[in-house]
Amino acid sequence: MTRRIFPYPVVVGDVSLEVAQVRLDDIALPYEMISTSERMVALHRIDRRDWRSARLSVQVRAPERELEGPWSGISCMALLAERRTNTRTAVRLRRERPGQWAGEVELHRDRHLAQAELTGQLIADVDGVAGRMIATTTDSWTIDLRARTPSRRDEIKTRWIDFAADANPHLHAFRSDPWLVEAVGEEPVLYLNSGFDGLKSLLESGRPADRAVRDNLASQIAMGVWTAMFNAALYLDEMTSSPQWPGGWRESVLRRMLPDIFPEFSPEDALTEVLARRRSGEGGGDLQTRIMHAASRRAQVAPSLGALIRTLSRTSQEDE
Amino acid sequence: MQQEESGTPINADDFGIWLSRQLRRRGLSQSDLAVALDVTRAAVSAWITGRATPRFEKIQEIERVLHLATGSSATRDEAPDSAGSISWHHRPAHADGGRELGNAAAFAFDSDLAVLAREAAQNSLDERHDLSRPVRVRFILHEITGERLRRLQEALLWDELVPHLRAAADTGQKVGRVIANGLRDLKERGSLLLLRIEDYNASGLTGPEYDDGRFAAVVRRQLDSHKGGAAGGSYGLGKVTLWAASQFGLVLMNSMLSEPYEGRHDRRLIGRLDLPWHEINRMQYAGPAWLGEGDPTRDGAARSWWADERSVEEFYLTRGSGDPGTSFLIVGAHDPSGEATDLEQMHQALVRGLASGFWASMVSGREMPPMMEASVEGLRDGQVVVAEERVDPHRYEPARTRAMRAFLNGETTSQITGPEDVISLDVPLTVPPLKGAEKSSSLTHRSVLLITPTGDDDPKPNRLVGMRGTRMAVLERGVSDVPLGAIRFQAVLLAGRAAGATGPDADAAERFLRAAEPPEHNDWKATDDLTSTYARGARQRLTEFKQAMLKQVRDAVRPVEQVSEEGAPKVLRDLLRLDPPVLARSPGYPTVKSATGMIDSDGAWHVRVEVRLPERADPWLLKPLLRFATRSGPLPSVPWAQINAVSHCEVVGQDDIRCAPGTRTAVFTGVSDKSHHPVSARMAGIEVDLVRRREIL
Amino acid sequence: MSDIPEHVGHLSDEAAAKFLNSAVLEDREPLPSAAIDRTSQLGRWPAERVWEAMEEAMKRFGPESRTAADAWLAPVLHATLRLTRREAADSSLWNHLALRVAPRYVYWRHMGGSSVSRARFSGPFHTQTFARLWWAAELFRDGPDYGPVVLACGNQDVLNTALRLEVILHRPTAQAMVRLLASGVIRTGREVNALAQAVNAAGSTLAYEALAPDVEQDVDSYQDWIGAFAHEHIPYDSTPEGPDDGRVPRHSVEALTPLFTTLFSEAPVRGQKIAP
Repeated sequence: MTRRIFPYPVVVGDVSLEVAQVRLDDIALPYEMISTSERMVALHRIDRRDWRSARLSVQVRAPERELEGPWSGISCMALLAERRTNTRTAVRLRRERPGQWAGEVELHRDRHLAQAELTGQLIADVDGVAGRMIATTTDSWTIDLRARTPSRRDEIKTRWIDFAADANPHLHAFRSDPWLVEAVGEEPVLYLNSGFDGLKSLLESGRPADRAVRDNLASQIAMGVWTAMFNAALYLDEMTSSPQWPGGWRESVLRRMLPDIFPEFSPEDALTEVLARRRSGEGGGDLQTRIMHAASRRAQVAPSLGALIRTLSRTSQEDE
Repeated sequence: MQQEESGTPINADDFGIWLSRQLRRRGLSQSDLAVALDVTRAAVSAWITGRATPRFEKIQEIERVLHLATGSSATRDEAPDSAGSISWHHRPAHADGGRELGNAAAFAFDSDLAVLAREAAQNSLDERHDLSRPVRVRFILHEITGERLRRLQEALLWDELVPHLRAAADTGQKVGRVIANGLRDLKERGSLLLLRIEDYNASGLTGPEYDDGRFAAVVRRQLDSHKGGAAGGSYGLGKVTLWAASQFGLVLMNSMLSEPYEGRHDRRLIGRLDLPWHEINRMQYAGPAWLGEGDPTRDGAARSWWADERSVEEFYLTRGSGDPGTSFLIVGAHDPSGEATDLEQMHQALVRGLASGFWASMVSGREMPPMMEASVEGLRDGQVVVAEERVDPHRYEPARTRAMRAFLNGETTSQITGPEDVISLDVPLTVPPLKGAEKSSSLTHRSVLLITPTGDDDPKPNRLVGMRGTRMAVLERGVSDVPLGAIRFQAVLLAGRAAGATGPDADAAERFLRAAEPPEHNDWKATDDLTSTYARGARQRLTEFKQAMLKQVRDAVRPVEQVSEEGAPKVLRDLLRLDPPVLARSPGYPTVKSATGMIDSDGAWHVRVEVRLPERADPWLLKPLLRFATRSGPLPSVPWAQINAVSHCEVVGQDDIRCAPGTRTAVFTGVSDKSHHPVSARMAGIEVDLVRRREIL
Repeated sequence: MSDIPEHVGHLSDEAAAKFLNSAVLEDREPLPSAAIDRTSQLGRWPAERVWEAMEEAMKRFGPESRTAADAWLAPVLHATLRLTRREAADSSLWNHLALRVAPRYVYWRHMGGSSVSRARFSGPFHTQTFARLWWAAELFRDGPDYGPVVLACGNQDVLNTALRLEVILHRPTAQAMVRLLASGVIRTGREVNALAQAVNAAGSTLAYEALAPDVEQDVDSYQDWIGAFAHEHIPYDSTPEGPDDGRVPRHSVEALTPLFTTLFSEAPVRGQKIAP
C-alpha cells in the first residue's frame, strides 16, 4: 500500500505472514517442505498422492506500535486464493497478543490445482466505516500443490524429449530440430530434442574444452526462447481500449524485456507503445530489431559469443 | 557460633584452631605459651589439637598473654592489628639462577575475554555446591579514578609494588611489555579497570594453606587440576586466564567457604601477583608474590587471612550474599587479545563469551532449574554505566536453546514438521576398557542428538555442538555435505551425564570424552591423555563416534522427497529466468516521487504530485493520469476537473504538464472530476500515473 | 451426429491452437475429429448427455435469441458436467468440449460477422463458450439453488464484466449483486457495469469477506453430488438441482445488499459510460 492514496489512514510498517506447520489430512508435512525464506510450501509427495485437504497453521505479525491509530476493532484475515480455480477463501484469525494473530487455513484439494497465494490482511473500523482494509502483508506465500520442494522455480520449464518418439506425434514434424518452444497456454515450455545426437551431452558437459561452445549454444537457444515468448505475449493482446498487462508468464516476459526494448519509457508507456505498434501494424521492422536486441541481452549472446571467438582464435594459434 | 553465657567456648576443635593461629601470628611456640601460663607443653598441645579446653581463668590469662581483648577467644575475634599484619611476600629467585620470564601456563593459551569468561564460568560450574540450585556467576567491570583509585592503591600497598612492576616491565619480554603498557595507561588516564568475577553457590577456596585443596590449587600452584567432581580442569590450566587478563598479573581473591577452614567460612582473602623474574637493587626475585599475612613458620610466606567487612570493601571484594563462592578481582583488567578496548566493548565480549560457551548450562526445563546463571555489568566510579545483563541463552542461541529445553522437558518429536520442532536421535559411543584392563569389555553409551530448524537470520546454520556433563559447548563444527533441499538446522549432541543418563556407561563416556578434551576444551580428539589412559582402539572409537553423529544429522535432515535435478541444463537455467527485473531507483523516464491527497467537502480528490525527472535538455511532456483503485482488473481512470502547476512545470492544453528543461523535480496539483468517479471518493483508493505525451512536432 | 466421442477428454491449448486456423474459425472447414482424437487424452465424463444439452439449447432458442440460451444452458451444463473446481480449471477439458464434442454450439452461439473468435473455442474461462457458463453457474449458485444463476446469466454484462472480477469469488458479494438485479435496483447492462465497477473499486478499501462472512463450502457433499450423476435425470423444463454444499448465509447477503445499493446510488458515473 505504498504509492496508493487512501481516503483514510492505513498502517505503516511491515505486516508479515508465516506458515508454521502444514498437515495433509492430519499428518504433518516434513518441515523441509516449508520454506520461510522463499515463503513457499510444497505439497506434493510421492507417497501421499490422494490427500484431500491441507491445513496450514498461519501466523500474522504487525509492528505493535504502528497499530495505535484512528482504528478500532482491528481484526485479521488470512486469504487463500488461486486465480485458476476461481477460489478465494477468507479465514478470520484469532488474536494471540497485540500485533499477532494466528489460525488455520484449510486448502481443499478439489478446489485447487497448481499454486495458491496466501496473504494476510488487517481490517478495522475507520471514521465510522466498518470493514476497511488498513494493511496487507508485504509478501505473500505460495502454496504449490505440484512442487516437491519449496523453492521458487522462476525459470522457464524445460523438457528433454525425443521428438521422433511414438508418444509425441505432434512433434514429428519437427523431428530434425534440436529444440523448439511452445509459448502458448499456462506455461511456456522449451523442448530439447533428446533424439538429436550429442545435444544433451554438449549442453550438460562439464569439460572445460566444451565450455565456450556449450555456452554459445545455450545463448542461441535462449535467444530463440525469449523472442518466441515475447511475440506470443504480444499477440495475446485482447484489444481493450487501454493497454493491459496480461498476467502470468506473459506479463513476466513483457516486464523483463520491455525495459531493453524501450529503455526511455516507463513499463506502462513501453507496453502502450509496443501494443500500439503491433495494432497499427506499423514499424514492424524497427520493433523486431528492438525485440532481437532485448532477447540477445537476456540470452547473454554478446559475452558468450565473445568468449567463443577468443577460444577459437587461441586454439587456431596453437594449431599453427 | 555457639557460646554459653559464661563465655566458655564449648567447641574444643574451633578453640584449638584459633589458638594455633594466634600463636603463629605472635611468633610464639607452644612451649613459649606453656611457660607463660605455667602449664605443661602437653596441656597446650591438647588444647591446640582440640583434645581439651582450658578453664575459664586460663582463657583470660591466654588473652592477656596474647594481648587480646577480654572475651575475644569466645567471639574468635582476630587481633585488632590484623590489617596491619598484611604485606606482600615476593618469592626470592631460585638459588640455581633459573629464571621464569612469565607465567609458563599463560602462554599455553591464546587468551581473550571470551576465553576468560569461558574458563571462569567453567570453574564455577565445576565447583557448583548445591546441585539443586544454579551456580550464579557475575562479572562486574568497574573503572575507578581519583580518590577511589588512591584508596585501593593504599590498601594494595601499591607503592611497594611499583618498583617490582617497573623492574618486570624492563625485562623486555612479552609480559614485560604488557606491564609497561599497564603502568603507562594508569599514569596517562588516571584510571584503573577492575574486573570482579564472583560466583555464588560454589565451593569457595576451601582447604589448607599449602596442602592439596581448592585453595592451594588456585593460589599456590600452576598446572594443577584439582579434580573435584565431573570437572574437566577445575582450577587447572584455565585459572591462568585470570592472571592473563590483568595487565599487572594481579588478582585478589575473597572466598566464602562452603566448608570451614580453621573453623571459619567468611572472607578468606589473599592476593597473588604473577610477574616474571626481575631484579631490584641487585636483589633477584623469582616473580610471583602473595599478599597476605606473613607466616613465620614458612620463611615469611604470605597466608590468606580472615578479613573484616571494611577491608573487603577497600579491596572491592564485598560479596552480595552469604552464599558460598569466590570473588576474583582482576586489577588492571584488559583484553589480552587487544580487541575490546573500552568498558562497553569488554562487556559485550564477556556476554558473548558466556552465551556461546554456556547457553546449554543456562537453559532451564519446566521442572529443572538451569545449572548456571550469569550476568555482566559495568560501573564507573560506583555509577552503573552498562546495566547488569543477565545472559539470556534464548537471545544468543535461539535454536540450540530450544533444542535443549525440549530435551529437558521431554518434548522432542520424531519428525520435524514445524519451525520449533526438535527431534531426538541416538548416537552410540563405544568406550574401550582402560589400559591394563584390556580383559574387561567395552561399554556402549547412547548419546542424544537433538536437531531443530533454525531461522533464516541465523548467520551460522547447519552446525553441530557437542557437550557432556557440564553442558559446556566442547565440540563445535559445521556439518558439510548437507543434502539438497534440507532444512537449515542446528544440532546438539549430549553425551555422558548430559544425556540424562546415570550409570556405568554414562560415567565411562564422561571419563572417556574428558580425556579426549585438549586443554582448550574445544574438541574431542585423540589426546595424549586418551591414548595413554585407554586400551588400543580408543582413537578408532572416537573417530567412529564423530562420524556417526555427522551421518545421523545428514540422514535426519535429508528431505523425504529427493530433489531431482532434471529439466533445464544448468547452463540454460540462468538464461531463462522469469523473475521480475529490479527497477532502477532513478530510471530513464519520469516517475512519481510522491503523491498525497485528500477529499474535499464536495467529494472530489485533491492531489499533490511530485515528479522525478531524468535530466535532459528538452522539456518533458506528461499526461498525469488519475485512476481509482479496484480489487481486481484494470483501474478506471477519471478525468481532471483542474490541474495546476506548482513548480518547474506548466499546464499545456487541457491537462498535460510540460516540465521545464533541465529540472529534476516538478510539482503539480490536481482536482478530480467527481462526476466521473466510479464510486464515491471516500470508498476507494486512488493512484496517480504519468503517461508520456508524444511530442507534438 | 454419430461422431460424438464417448467421453469428454483433454486437448491441450497448444494442440487446440494448431487446429484453429482461420478456415475453421470461419466455419469453411470442419474440425478434423480423427486428428483431434489422436492428440487428445481420455477423460471420465460421458460426452453424450453434455452434447444432448447443447442440442436442446439450440432447439429451444432461435438464432435471434441465442444470447438467452446462456441463462438456460448454464445451470444445465453445470448439473450435467459435474466437475470439481480443480478439474474445471483445466482448459484442456473446455478445448475438447468445444473442438471435439460440440463445435456446432460454438458456431451457433458465437458466430459474429464471418467468423468465431478463437477464444470462444480455446481461451480464458470468462470467454470460452462453455467455461464461462459453467463458471457462472458455479460462482453464482446459492448452494443447490441455480435461481441466482438464471438471473445472472440473463444479463450479458454480468457474464462479460462481473464474471471476471475477484469480488464475486466471495459468494455473499455475488448473491448481493444478483439481488439488486432481482429487485430491479439495477436493470440495464450499463447499470450492471456501474454496479460492478463501484463494488470493485470500493473493494480496494472494503473487506467484504470481513463484513459479510461466508461459510465454508462442503466439499464432501459436492463430491457426493458428482458421484450421484449417473443415477439422476437432469430436467430441461425446470431448473435442475445443484450440489447441496451449503447455502450462502442470508445475513451476510443482507449485510451487503444495502451497502451495494448505497455504493451504486452514490456512484457519480451511474448510468454514464464508464471510462476504461
